[in-house]
Amino acid sequence: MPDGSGHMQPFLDQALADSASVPGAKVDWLADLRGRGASIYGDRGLPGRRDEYWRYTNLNALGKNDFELANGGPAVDVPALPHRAVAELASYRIVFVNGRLRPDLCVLDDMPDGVLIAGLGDMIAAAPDRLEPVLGQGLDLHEMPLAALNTAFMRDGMVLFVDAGVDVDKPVHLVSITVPGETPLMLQPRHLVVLGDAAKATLIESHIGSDEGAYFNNLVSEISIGEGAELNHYTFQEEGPAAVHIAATALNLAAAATYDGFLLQSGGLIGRVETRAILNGSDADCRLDGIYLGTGEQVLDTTTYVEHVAAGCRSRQVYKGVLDGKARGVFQGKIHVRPDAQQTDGHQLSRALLLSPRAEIDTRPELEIYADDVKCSHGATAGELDAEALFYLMSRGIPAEAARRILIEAFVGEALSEIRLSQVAEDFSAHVRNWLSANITVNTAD
Amino acid sequence: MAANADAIEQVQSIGEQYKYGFVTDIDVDLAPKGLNEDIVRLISEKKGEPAWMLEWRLKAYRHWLTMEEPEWQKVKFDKIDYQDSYYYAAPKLGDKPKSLDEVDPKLLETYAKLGIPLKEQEVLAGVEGAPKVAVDAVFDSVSVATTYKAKLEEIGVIFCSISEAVRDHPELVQKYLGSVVPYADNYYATLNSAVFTDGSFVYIPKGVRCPMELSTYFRINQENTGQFERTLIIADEGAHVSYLEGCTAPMRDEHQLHAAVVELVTLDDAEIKYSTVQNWYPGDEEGRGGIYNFVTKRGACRGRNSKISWTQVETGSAITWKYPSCILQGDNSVGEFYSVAITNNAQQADTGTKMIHIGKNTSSRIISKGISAGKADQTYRGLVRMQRGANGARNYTQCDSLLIGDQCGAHTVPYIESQNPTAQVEHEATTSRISDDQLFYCRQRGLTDEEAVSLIVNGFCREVLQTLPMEFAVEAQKLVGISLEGSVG
Repeated sequence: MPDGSGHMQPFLDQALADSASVPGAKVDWLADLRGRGASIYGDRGLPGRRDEYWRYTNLNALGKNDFELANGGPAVDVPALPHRAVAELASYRIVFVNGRLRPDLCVLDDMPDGVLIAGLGDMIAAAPDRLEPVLGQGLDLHEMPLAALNTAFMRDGMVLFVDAGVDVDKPVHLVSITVPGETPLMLQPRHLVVLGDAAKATLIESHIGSDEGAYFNNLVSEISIGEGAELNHYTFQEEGPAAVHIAATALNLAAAATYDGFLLQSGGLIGRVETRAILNGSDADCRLDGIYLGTGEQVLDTTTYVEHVAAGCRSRQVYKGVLDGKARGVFQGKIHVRPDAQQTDGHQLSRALLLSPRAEIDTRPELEIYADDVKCSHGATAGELDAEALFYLMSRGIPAEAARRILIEAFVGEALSEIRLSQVAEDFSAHVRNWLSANITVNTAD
Repeated sequence: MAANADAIEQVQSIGEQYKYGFVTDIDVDLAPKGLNEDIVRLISEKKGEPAWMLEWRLKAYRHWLTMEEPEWQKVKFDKIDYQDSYYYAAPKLGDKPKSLDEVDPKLLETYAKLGIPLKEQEVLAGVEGAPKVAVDAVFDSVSVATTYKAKLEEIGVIFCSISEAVRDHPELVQKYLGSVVPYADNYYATLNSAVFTDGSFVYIPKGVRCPMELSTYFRINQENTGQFERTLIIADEGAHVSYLEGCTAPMRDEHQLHAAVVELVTLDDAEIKYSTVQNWYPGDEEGRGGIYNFVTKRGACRGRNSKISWTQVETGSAITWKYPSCILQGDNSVGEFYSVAITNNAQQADTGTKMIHIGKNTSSRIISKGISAGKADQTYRGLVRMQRGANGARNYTQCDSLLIGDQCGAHTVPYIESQNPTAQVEHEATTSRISDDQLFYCRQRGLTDEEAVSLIVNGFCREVLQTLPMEFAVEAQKLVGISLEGSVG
């Protein structure tokens, strides 16, 4: 329903409907937190073109369907886990189907001491006290209206706690599979990752949609990295072709913490992945890299916000986009340097390749700087493949199609080479190659 | 470290003595305070305008009433009370002066204090054999002296105040006024459309290369008057003109609004070079009393192979908020934007450009240098848009910010939109400060701190300053120098 200011607040009624009966409804702080999310979303409504950070990503598609909150797993059985998502990797695996934990598909045996991987729903029921100091703490809901909506729900998701000094021996693999049913589904998963001081972990996220049905996956992750701790985080977004995937990640880095994030986005009709990193402790190091591959009528939006609060932190961002068909890429990245954050070193690079006359890229790299002793820069480019390089390859007998693929692979390679975990790097490279052979044909060359 | 502290102190004192802070005491013809349809009618009547002009003003005024003040900009100021301002102030000169001798000597004195180059003062004073610079001096709102008009008329160049143009060349004004900045464009442009009082009009006919630089000095003098200039420059096919605009204003206690509109039109193979040196009163250290400079400047490259080049040196005003833009419609047209903005104390600037590429093989270049000191806040905000049909278009953007002191801010907000794969867009931005190494190097070679900072800052801006026409380049370099001197004893 539009309110007086013309805002739409779809889905809010669903969040409020069973607020008395959801898990943890009796836990005061949790009920308060949900209520706060509902009220902020109620005030802000669904972001529209007038919201500066949503001007390039239109969410009208959300108004067209009556998305219903997914309740429990699908009636159909999920055959095998899709092999697309780093299948060969030895990992602790936690699996969600339609936003709900599926213990039968999880592999969580023999976890080392000091590591907890569990469903948020179970945690709310069993040990809400462990969640209280961290859940909802790292988020500015006023800045993220859809994260506020997610907060109003908060039914299930992953909780990963790593105690101080613990090095998790295998990567943790979060798999989210959506199997749309008769009615368009809505998912509101909420993930929470807390690394104690000097802890180390690798988290891989795979978001996969199984068919053509429309669904709305609105996920929020809160990640807190303790002093000297280290998190490698690889995300693979390959939602179904009619899906709307909105992901918000709130990152908090303590002193000397390291975050190394990589995002590969190629799924969904609309995919928006927003990362807000707050560098609270000195000498923290934050890397945000990614690739987006768009075709058809996809809109793929990568939005980052890196806030340097403490002195001497580093942040690096390299994003590469390849856009074909009528796809639209959006990159919005902001580096914000607070007055005390001297000796900040912040860099950002966004490059996009347009392969078709109908493709579009909208870029907004932003710097907001209040400290003088800093090194900050950003660069952005957009254009097509270098005709000379193409000619060079073709003059050596490589067919046009292959030459184009080689050049595109090399283009995204710069970002891919930042991935530290070799299995993930190989898997992502293979995905890029598959995408290229499926989408880059000679026809698109003209 | 000490060197840097000195530099900070030095730069902080910029603007401590605003050398143009004086008030010329001459009689002024004022309309009543406030804004309503009657005031709009009064302005139109005072200027003896035809009915279509009044209609246009009223249309703008009525639309303005429905608009809301924009809030997206990164500048802060108290809400402006539009009813507490005078919208018409004309120096009481009686009839239009027949010759420059009739110009109030105090006015000429003012120009002298403004530091208008001596030769141009001679021009204003009508000295025989003065160099060929045509000056359309705007004193508050009414153009009081136009020199070299006759000489320009010989070759068909029309250079006069916009009011005269409305009277004498209505066909040109009707055709082009509002064609680049429509009356409903934005809050301040709409306000300007309703109440603009004067400004310059230039028309360069086909194939004519204007033999001299045209220049206007804007001046805000009367207390509490908003200044609403309207400038319209048209370069017909194959024409070329270089236009200079300089602004200074005397010291005042209350904020003064300057909401000008500048429209440029180039047809086939034409070129306009528009240079601005803006040194309005920036206010005291807290920003009290400075000018609000909310200006809409836009050029349309309508013809093939046409070119519009904006150069601006912004050192004054409490708040500068403007985006000189180019709409590159004609194939092969070129847009350029060169900017130096220096903000100090509590000054705020949100400035940049828009390059809209519509035609094929259009190209644009943006070079922006921002220097922020004291508690000043500065933003580069720009848009580069490659539309679907802009095959082979090219843009290069470079925004560099220099921070002096640890309490100022420098921000970069570029929007880059490309809908054409053959279009190439490149954007780079950096932020840095004057390094101790640079200062040390200079001082080691015998330069004082002051000279060193001036040298480094001038070097930082060099790329932009050297695009200014000779007459202005010297003045602008001095201005950068002046801004950075006077504090180290």
